[in-house]
This record gives sequence, C-alpha cells and structure tokens, in this order.
Amino acid sequence: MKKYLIILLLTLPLCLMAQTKVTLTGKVTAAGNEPLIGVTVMEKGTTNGTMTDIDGNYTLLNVPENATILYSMIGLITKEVKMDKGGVINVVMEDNTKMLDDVVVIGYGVVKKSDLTSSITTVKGEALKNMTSGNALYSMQGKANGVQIIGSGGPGDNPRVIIRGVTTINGSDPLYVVDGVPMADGTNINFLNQNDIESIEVLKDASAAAIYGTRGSNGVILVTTKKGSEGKVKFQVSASLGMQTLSKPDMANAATYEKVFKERYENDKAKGGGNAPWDVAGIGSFSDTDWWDQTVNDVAYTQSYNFSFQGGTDKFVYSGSFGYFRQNSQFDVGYWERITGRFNTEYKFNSIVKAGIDFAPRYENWDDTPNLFDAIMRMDPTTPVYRAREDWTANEYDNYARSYHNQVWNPAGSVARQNKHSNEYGLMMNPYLSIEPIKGLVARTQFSVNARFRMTDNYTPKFYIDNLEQSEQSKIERNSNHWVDWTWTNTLNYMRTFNEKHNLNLMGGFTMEKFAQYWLTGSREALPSNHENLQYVSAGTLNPQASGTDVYTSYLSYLGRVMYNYDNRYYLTASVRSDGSSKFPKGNKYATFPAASVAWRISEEGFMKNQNVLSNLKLRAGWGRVGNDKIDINSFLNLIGGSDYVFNSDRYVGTSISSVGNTTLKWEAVEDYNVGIDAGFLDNRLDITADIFLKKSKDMLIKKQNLMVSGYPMWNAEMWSNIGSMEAKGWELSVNWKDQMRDFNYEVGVNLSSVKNIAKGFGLTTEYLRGGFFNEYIIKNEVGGEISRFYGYVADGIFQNQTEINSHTSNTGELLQSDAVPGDIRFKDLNNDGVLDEKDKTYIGSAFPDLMIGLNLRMGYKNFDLVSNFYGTIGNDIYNSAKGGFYAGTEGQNVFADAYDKAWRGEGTSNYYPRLSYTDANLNYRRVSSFFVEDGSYFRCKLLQIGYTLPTKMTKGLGIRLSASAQNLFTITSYSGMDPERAAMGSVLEAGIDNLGYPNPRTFLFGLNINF
Amino acid sequence: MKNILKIFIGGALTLSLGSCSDFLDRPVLGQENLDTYFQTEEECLKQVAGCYQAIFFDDWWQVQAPYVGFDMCTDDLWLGNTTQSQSDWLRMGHYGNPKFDGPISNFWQYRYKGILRCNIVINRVADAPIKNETLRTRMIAEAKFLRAFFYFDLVKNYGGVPVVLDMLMPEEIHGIQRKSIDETYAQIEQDLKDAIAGLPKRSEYSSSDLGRATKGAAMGYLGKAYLYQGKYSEAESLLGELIDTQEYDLCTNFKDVWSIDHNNSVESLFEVQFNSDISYNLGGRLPVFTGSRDDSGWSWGLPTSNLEKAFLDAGDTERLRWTIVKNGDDVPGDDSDEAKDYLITPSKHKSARINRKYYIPHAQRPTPYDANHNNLNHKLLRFADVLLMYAEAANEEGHDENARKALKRVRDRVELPEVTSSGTALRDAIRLERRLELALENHRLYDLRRWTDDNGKKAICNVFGQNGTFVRYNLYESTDEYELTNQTENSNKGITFQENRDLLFPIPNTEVLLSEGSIAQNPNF
Repeated sequence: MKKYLIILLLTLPLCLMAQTKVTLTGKVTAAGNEPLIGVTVMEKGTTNGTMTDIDGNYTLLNVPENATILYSMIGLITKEVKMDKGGVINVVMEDNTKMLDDVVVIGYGVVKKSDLTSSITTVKGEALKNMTSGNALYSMQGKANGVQIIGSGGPGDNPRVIIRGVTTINGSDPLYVVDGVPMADGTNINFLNQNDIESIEVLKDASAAAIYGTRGSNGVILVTTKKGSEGKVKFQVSASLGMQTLSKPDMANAATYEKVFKERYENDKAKGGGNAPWDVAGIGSFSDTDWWDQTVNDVAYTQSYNFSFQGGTDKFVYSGSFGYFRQNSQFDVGYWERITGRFNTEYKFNSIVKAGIDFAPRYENWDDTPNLFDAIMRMDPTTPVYRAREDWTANEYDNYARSYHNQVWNPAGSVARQNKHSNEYGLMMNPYLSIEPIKGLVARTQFSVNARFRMTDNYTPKFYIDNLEQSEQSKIERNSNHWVDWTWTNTLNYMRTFNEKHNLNLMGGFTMEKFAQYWLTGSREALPSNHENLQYVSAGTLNPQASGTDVYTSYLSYLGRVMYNYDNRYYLTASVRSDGSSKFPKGNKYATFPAASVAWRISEEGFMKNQNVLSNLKLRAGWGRVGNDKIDINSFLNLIGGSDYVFNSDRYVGTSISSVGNTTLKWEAVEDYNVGIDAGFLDNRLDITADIFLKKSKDMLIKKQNLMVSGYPMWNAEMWSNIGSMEAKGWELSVNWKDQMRDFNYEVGVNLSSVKNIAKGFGLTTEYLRGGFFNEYIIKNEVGGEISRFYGYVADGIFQNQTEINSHTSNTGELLQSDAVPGDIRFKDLNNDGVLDEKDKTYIGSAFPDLMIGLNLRMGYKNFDLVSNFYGTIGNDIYNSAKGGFYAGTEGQNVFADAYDKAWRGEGTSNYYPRLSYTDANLNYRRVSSFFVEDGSYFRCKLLQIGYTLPTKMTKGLGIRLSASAQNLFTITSYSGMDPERAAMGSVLEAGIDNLGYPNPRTFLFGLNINF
Repeated sequence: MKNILKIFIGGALTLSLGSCSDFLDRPVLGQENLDTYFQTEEECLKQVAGCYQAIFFDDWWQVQAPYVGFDMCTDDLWLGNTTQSQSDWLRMGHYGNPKFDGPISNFWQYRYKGILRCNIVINRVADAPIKNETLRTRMIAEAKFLRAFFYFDLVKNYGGVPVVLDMLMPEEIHGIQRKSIDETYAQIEQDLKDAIAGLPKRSEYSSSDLGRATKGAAMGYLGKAYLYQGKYSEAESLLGELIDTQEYDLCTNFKDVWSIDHNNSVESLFEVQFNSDISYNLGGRLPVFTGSRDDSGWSWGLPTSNLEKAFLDAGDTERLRWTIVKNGDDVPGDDSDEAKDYLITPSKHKSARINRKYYIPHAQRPTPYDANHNNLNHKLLRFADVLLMYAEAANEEGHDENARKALKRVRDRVELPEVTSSGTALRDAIRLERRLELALENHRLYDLRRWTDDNGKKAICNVFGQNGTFVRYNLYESTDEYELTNQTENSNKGITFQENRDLLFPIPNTEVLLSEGSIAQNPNF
C-alpha cells in the first residue's frame, strides 16, 4: 500500500510539467554585490525552478516568454520579475527585516509573530535536525528559553521536561499537541521523526495555553509537521552514523579492593570483634575482574537515515518522508529501532473547499536496556565472571560466578538473562476539511485517530548461581496493549479588517476526545527449555495467568477566542475554554478556563518613526487560568477487587474494597501572570526577549495520604484530593545577534532563565518527605519553602584525634558523638541542645537550579558551516548517594580506585573522607548529611558540528553536504558522579538524587545530506 | 455552501449536546462497584472471605514478618540475619526507637485495612436483601470476630487505639483520638461476645467451611482478652467452659502441632488457612523468612541460645528438638539429604540456629519455594494455649488444683513430670511452660509485657535493660560459640530498653504527624 502511494506521489509532478520555450540565466546578489547561494528561482505558478550556485548564478530552462519569475530565500524579501526577452535577469535582493512576521502556531490557529500577545517560543525544524537524536526534545535543549529539558542516555529514554517551573505535585509533563491533536497523558514524543518537524512551539504562559484548558498547566508543546508547498518536487536524503562512548568510572582492582575490604574490619576490631569473611571457604584463588570491561562495550552505534520529498501545485501540495533510526545500548542487549513514514497532502477543490490528510505509520522495535551501572560498579573484582568449568551445567545461565564478598548479582549474568522485547505499530491519521464560504470565514473540521499496538514479551530463565541468586522457575509473559485515541476538532474562524485599522480575528469551536486502552497480559512458568523457539506462553507448563480490561478517558470541550488589534499598535487577545472530563464525578465534570492578554507595539507609534536604532519594541502582559487533570481514572468511585482465601484447604473466591473514591474531586487550577518585552535593534540584527512570570496553583490534585486508621485499601490510604498549592516565579531573557559580512555570516543566541518553585500548602500536612536513604529521607518539601531540597546533618570535617572528639560536647560536657573514633565525621549540633538528633538537620542543598543557560552558535563561511549548542544549569545540587558506598566499601561492595588512598588514615591525612569502617558506628555513610551533597552545576557542549557543502559545479546541481559532529562533547562541572544531567532527574518533589541511571553518552557522528 | 455550513454546525451541536452526558460517563470496566454490591448471599460471603484474607494479606511483609519481628523483641529471637541490612528490625528488636520504621507502620496500616473490610461487612450485610437470616447472623458474627482479633492485635502492641467502626471520609476521621486501653478492650469484648452468640461451634460447620471462626475460637480469644486485662475470674470461668465443651484436645505428639500433615488438627481453635496452588498467593512465606540462608531462607528471627538453655534447664528435649534446629543437626522430621548435618553458616546467622516450627521438610515444599505458596497453616490459637491460660487464671484466682490439672495435660504430652507446687512457684512454672510450649509463636512479648514480677516490675523490665537477665546472660554468662563470635548483630541487644517507654511500640510517626497530634504518641518515643 505504502509503495503504491509513493509511486503515485512521485509521478504526479511529471504529469504537471509545463511546455517549454526559452532558457533564462542570471546572477543573484545581495546589496553590496555579494553573490547569494541557494536562492530559489521559480517560474511563477509552475513547478519549474532551480537554485543559484556558489557564485549566485542560475540557469532556468524552458521558460515561456510571458512568464513571471520568483526569487526567494529565507531571510530575504521575495522578488517577482517579469521574463526578460534577452533571457538574462540579474537580481539584487534585500534582507527581510520583517522576519518578525514569521507565522507562529498557536492553539487552534496561527498568528504573525509580530501579533503575539503571549509568551510562545518557536524552535524551527531546521534548528532541530543538526542533532541526531531519537527524540526531538533532546535537540531542543537550550533552544527554548524557560524550558528545562534533561535526560538520560539509554535507547528510547524519555527526558524530563519542565516548562517554567512546577506548580503541581503530579509531575511536570506538558501537553503535547501534534498537528492540532492533543496526545494522551504520558506520551513519549519519540514516536515522531524529528526530521519531519517543521516547527515546535512552546506555549509557556497561561494566556497562550488556556485554550487547552484542562491540560495546560504544565505548558503546551505544539508540534507541526512539514507540509508540501507549491513548486517543483524537492528531495532530501540524509544519513548519519554515530558512535557512542561512555566514560568509565575508575574502580578499584582486586588488590586495592582487598586492602579496603580488610582495613574496614581491621580498623574496627577493637570494637566488637567482627567477622573476617575474606577467607571464603572453597575458593582457591581470586580473579581480578574488570566488570565494566566485561559488560560495557566501548562503542555503541546509532544510525539514522531519512528520505523526504515535497512539492505541489496551486491545487495540490504534498510531502512525504521515510526515516529509520536505531540506537544501541552500551550493553550486548538493549536497543531501540524506529521506522517512520509520513505523508501529508492537501487538495484545494476550489476557492471555498479544501481538504487534506496527514498519514503517519510507524514501527518501533526495542529490547529493554538493563539498568546495571550500579551493579557493575559495586560488584566484587575478585570474583571471576564464570565459575570453574567443572561446575558448569547444561543451563548456560547457571555458569556465572556468585560474588565472593558481597550480595551483588553477577552483572554479566544479568546481561545474559535480560530478555524483554517489544514491538509497536502505530498509525496517526489526520483528515480534515476546511470551508471558506465567505472571505475571511473558515470552518474546519478535523477527525484524527492515533492508534497504536504494542506487544511485549518478557522471558526470565530458570537459573541457579547461589541460593540468593537464582530463579526457581522460568517464566514467559506477553503483554498486548492497544490504544485507540481519537479527537474530533471543529472550529469556525473569522478574520477581517474594518476601516483599515481594526483587525479582528474570532474563533469558536468544540472538540471531543477519547483515549482508550485495551490490554491483555498472559504468562506461564516452567518452560521446557531456554530455547528461543520455546519462549512463548503456549510452551509454559505451569501457573497460567491472564488479565486484561479496557480503560477510557474522554473529554468534551467548547472554546472561543477573540483577537483584536488597532492599527497594529494596540492588541487584545481573550480566550475561554470549557472542558468536560470523564475523570471527575457528576457535578464537577465541567470547568472553565479564561485568559486574556494585551500588547503594545511601541515601535509602530508615530513618535518612533524617526529613529533607526530600535526596529521593534513590544510590551506584553497576560493572565490566564489553566488546569491539570493528571489523576487516575475512577478516582471518585468505591471499587472492589479480589481477595481470595482458603477454606477446607481449597481456594475460596473472596472480594474486598480495593479503592475508596473521593466524590468531591474537582479540577486543579493554575493562575498565571506574565509580563514581557520584545525588542529588535539595528534592523533586527539584535533581538531581545525578556519575560517575568508568576504561576500559582490551587486545589492542587494530590494523591493525599490520609490517616491509616481510615483503613483505606490504597497504600498509605492515599486518595486523590484537591489540596495544597504551589507557586513558581521566574524570569527569562533571550538575546540573539546575527550578522553577515561578505562570505561570513554568524548568529549567536543566549537563553537565560531562572525559576523558583515554592510549596504553598500540602493540606493537612506541612511537609512531604521523599527519597529514602537508610530509613531517613533525603528530601524535605516544606510548606513555604522551595521544593526538592536536601535536608540532613552538616558534616563538619573529620575528627583528627580523640581530643577533638572529646571537645565536641554539649554545654554540660557530654560527648555529642560517643560512638566516634578518630577518622569519623564530625556532625554539627546546630541547635546547641547537646544531642545530635533530627533537630540538627537543616537544608543542605537544592535540586533545582538558580539559572539555566542555553548558548547557540551558528557560523557560515563560504561552503563551510559550523553549529554549536551548549546547555547548562547553575546553582543546583546533587545528592550523590552512591558515593558513600564507593568510598566505604559498604557490605563488601567495590570502591573507587582512590578510595584507599583518600581515606583518613591518621592525623592530617584527610579532612573530608572518613576512615574505613566495617560497622560505621558513627553513621558516617548512613546519615543524610552534607558529605553527599555536591554542586551539580554543569555546562555541556551538546553539539559541535562542522559541515561542508560541496560546490554545485562539482555535484551537477545536487546539494551535497558532509558533516562531522560530536554530541555531549565535553562537560564543565565539578560534579564527581558519572553525569550531572542524568543525576538531576527525578520527579518534581524528588529530584537531584543520583541513582546511577544510564548516563548521556558522548557521540561522534558523520552525516551526509543530499538535496535535489 | 451555506447549507453545508449549517449542517456542519447543526450536526456538531446536536452531537455534542445530545451525547455529552453519556460520553463523559464511562462505566468502570472489569471491576465491581461497592455501592451496588451486597445484593446476594454469594456477594456477602465473598466479602466475608475478604475479611479473613486480611489476617495475613497476600505476602510476607504486611503481617507475617511483623509477627516474627514482635518475637525479636523478646529473649527468644535474634534479628538473626548478618549478611544484609538489619535496619528494618534493629531499632525494634534492640530497643532503639522504631517510630520511623517500616514494620511498625505496615502492621498498623494493614490491621486497619482489615478493620475497614470488617466494618463494611458488618454494616452492609445487615441491610443486604438476602433471606437466609441464619447465614446473615453468622456472617456478621464472623466479621465481628475478625474485627475483635484485629483490634486485639493493635491494643497488645500499641496500647489504646482509635476505634473506627465504619467507612469514614477523611473529613469525618479528621481529629480522631485514641481510646484508652480499657475502652479499646471494651470494644473487643463486645465484638467477641456478639461473635460467641452468632457463631456456630466447630462441629456445627459443614466440612467445606473448615477454617472459619467458631464459637470456640471466639471464647478462646475473649478469655485471652480477659487474661490480658487481669480479669482472672472472667477468664477462668470462660476458659473453663471452653475446655469443658470437649470440642478441642491436644494433638497426641508435640511434633504434629506445626506439621502440614496436621493442619486444622483437634488442637486448633483458629489458624490461618493456606493452600499451595502456585497460581495464587494463598500460602505462607514464614518458612522462607525464618529459614537458613544456606537452604533458600532469609534467616530473619533466629532462636537464641538463651531459649535453648531454658529448654535444657527444664529437661525439655522433645520440645527443644521441634523448636530449634542448630547448625550441624539433622533436622528432625525431614528425611532428605539436605536435612542431614544441616548447614546454618555461623557467619551468616547470629546464632546458627533456626526455628523448627515454621520449617517445611524438603519433600513437602512447593516449587517455587521462595514464594507465597507454603501450606503450613499458621496457628494463631491452639488448645495448649487455652489450657495454659486457664491454668494461669485459676492460679491467680487461688484455684491451684485446677491450674495444676490443666498444666499437667500440657506437660504429659512431652513426658515431663507433673508440677506439684502452688502459689507463686506454680505461677512461675506456668509462665515457664508458656515460654517453652508456645515458643516463637508470637505470644512471648505480650506475656512479658503483662506479667508482673515479684519486684513489682513488668517481667520485660527484668529481662532487658542494663541489668536485664537476657542482657547479662549474653554479655557475661553465655559461652555460646556462635553468638559470641558473630557480632554483626551486637550481643548487647536490649541494653537500651527503657522501662518508661518500651512496654508498648510507638504509633507510626507519620500517623502522629498526619493527625496533627490528635493521635497522641506513646510516652517517651
């Protein structure tokens, strides 16, 4: 089916070829006589066109004598010239200083950028595609100001996105809208091929986002895919191959490990006489295994191939693409592979009716990547990968060695057993019909379907390495999920200018949406063998299990918007959306979300005409109310689940309450204020945008913990409730400079933003503790304070000798740390009450940054181009919780290579790293303390790319560009863990705790682009 | 064209207005709704079964592990496991302050979850449109029995607790306070009296109902509630009445008490019913939880040499054999090779001993074993306990003759000589008998907390603390090679016991915080 469609689309332009007459040549230059490369030269109303070469020359064949020729290029004013009988036209083109008049996509419509009254950031597809990434969000890092995007590096990983801070406890995911279709909660937009993206708009303030009402409170990300345009068919082919590497942590070898291991016991011998389990019975000799080398590959490949085309006539435009992307993990298992297709078409029946369809099939295939960095680093290096060959069994999974000295499972065995595989087929279809019965009045209806089918097989082999490292039974599980989401969007738009100065744009509409999931899961145990042909549920011989059901969410909404401006100087936008949702109980199903914003374009005032410094100046102010409904469905119902018991030795089917509903649930609302300024200087070569904002939530939806005496069946008696409030306030500043000097053009953009997230109330509770650490909590979210801050003891250096311990006392002379010996950490008695307890904890770090920085550079010189993007955060802390173990060797785990040398070993040897200890009686490594807190600030070169476009003379008109790039090339940070970006992730109330997840790899790529 | 527009707008409005109410009311799929439940006998019976399920729930950590944890707070058990982090149990078993710890909080939480299930049954079965009134009475009585059982579990551990008798919304619970210990017991007594009135005798149930609460079980627990409150006269008369029904007797052999082959024996008044079908979580996990690390176990809750010594001092070899297995022993009752010269590696196990009562012979283990599939029913109330409670109450009431008679029945089974003493000597003999007969069955802690010694202190105060018998034994008297060598769990367990604090467990800290203080913490935590 796909094949035929392509053939059809490819042959279309051929049928539409015009008749031929004259050959036209000429040269295109900019003011100052610089030749312009890559200017499109078209015969108007046809697909006959070409481009200028490196010297600005062009040749256009077969031009009728009465034709009109169009010269166009982004950033320049399009020129129309009548055909010259001599067959030569030289053109001088001018810069388009009205670049402001780019069209910006807003919800349910578009406006000129100059007419915007709210805070919207656009990132063009061009800027995204320099990065090779499976997820466009990674390419957006640092480019959309006020949007914090941080991620990890595993295949298919989904980054965390926070737009202008956090106002809800329920995560920070924005609403994604693809070609006008709101996606379901929790959508990972890695299903989109980023090469298909025309632009991404981020609706940051509520005056922009309120048109999406209920789901707008975390901001909205609008993705618009590429559409065809009138003109000759254009093809693009691109390919890139990348090599990912991870930097290897410097872990101890067997000799150092042994020294640390023994010293831990020896140091404590005086106290309690611990065991010396170094001498493990039955082990002849020790190995020196480098677990990283045994399990992590030096290089993992990524591949990306794309083919796209676009073109059209005045009646019919089309575009299409195919893409293939694959990323391998650094392990022998784990990858993500995606094949995408996209076909967008639009047909104009006449001046009144037009219709189109977007059609985007895709296929994804992935093997889950195991999360093993923690185990690899902790595993004991004296243990060999495999046990002695004479102990091997026929089951390959049995033959790995058990750790001699700790409880970590053999990571090589874990890699071998990892066997979870998913396939997903998706189709997004987006047909629409648009009617313009009267000039300016457009009725549009769009019915889109997003269907996905995913099947996951998970096989766990039976194996026995040790009593504590075994699976008694093999198990195969298959999950079959399918989702069918549909959205019906109907809008009526009226645009008219009255008396030349009153510009009016009215929009009204209604939408229906339904998100449905249909799932079934089945499993069996005890497969006859590990053979891959038998890894199917049917082959299992024991314990058949199955379950499945349907899950629905539906919305029904009415919306309206008025945009008015007087003489392009005074602007007013007001919108309202009324949303109905199946997630709320009767009586509370509907809620209304209004918004209004104003702008004043000072630069259009008469008194500004006589100056030439400021080319644009606009003030904006907006207010809006947006909502959040990210709660479980059926949260208002009392439901029953199974609770079987046994009578007379037989199973007896029982039931019991499984959730208690809250019948008073309603929408969470966020009020949002924004004030901004846009300014352009020196013919808009310098662009400045600045905003300040304040967002405040109320009736925040919290899965609130109730008293356990309620007996509610939910864990901790948690019930969705409207309680609490949060506030985010901050500012953003973008400065962009671009200029051109003969053969050299360049652009520098800096984005700076800052936001503070404050908890205003948690209902009955005054604090939310998160992030467990040896039965304490690392994070305390306290009413009135910033969220996600670390709360613990203050480590105050190391006791160098007994005198120092003896002098660390209460006022009455009692020892504060009676368990301490020289070499242990001194903790501060902050409240001076003479005991070291909970009351001596204080805020010792903050997970959210003070400042987020994006720096984007672009340079072009002749045929060379260079792009570089940087991203960083300043002022955030990371709780490096794993650090303790890697210096202490807790429970026999492996340590950093320098752990032995760094440890305190006598007076003056260290004032930071405590002595090695087995019992850790002083709780050096078990207290939440500032010892673990590190500055998490970083500045990372996300991308450095050098490209070279082959001269068109050499390539016979083909545009061929070669590029070499490095992603995550270098990072400036003082953080000692593997990756400060990955470590800063986590949920909004529990961020910044390093759990050794998959770090962002450094990737070197080579790319090839061909345009024709 | 205008027509098209009209149709379009008209159609849109009709659709949206006409269907919106249905469109936003998705029925719950694949799940039943409580508000329309309790329509048939079957639905009522299913909810009653759900109340029983709440005794242990479906896994090891909600109730089973805390039960063992409570015995860790006595002189009978160590935490035991010396290869993993002990912090869950350390502050509880060694008398630190466990108010932040999981087991204290889980047990509290899951007991109240069970109470809500009972409240729903008690209140809704009463109005259910069913015709069988006998069945209605029985079902309500079963739920009341279980509610009393759950509150009893709470009051023993935490003292007086908030008494909730219905499904309440958060605003109705807000500000709730604890009842006194007496008031909590009053509720327990009332529920048990109702249960005694409404429940059939064990012999009156059909065989398919084996395992349900019986009149005898309710009498046993009411007797126990009397005894715990020091209402000896009520206890003596009720427990005497229960013994006289002759519905229950001792198993012939002590070894059969905790044997899969003797589930629901003549000795059993109430036990948790298990089943080993691997498709469901209907079995127990305690054999694994308390088993040897070298035999697929987790080695939590290992018997002390102090307990072993108590058996030896009493010349009680039979019960010792079936209560404690020591490293290198042949496990009694297990003919498999694995049970010969049984390995309990001393470096991994504080005392190199495990609990034989929960041990399952290899031939009777399901596969997988390390799962909730073991079908050794968990004995909650057995006739030996009833006899010893009766003996204790009779002794307190000065009826030593009756006390000695009951005590004799228990001792005869393990061929120990009759006790002939009276008064406090007889009292002490009964107390020792309880320790030996009921060892590791989650009775010891409450006995130690309620018994008053001759010096006027609660018995537990003489066991723990700086000068406690158990602390002194381990620090100065013991010569046990295993316990002394393995100090990964410190032998000074209980040295931090505080008389003015540790007669109860703390209320979970989060509960006190969430209640904004309306639920008061126990003193000195």
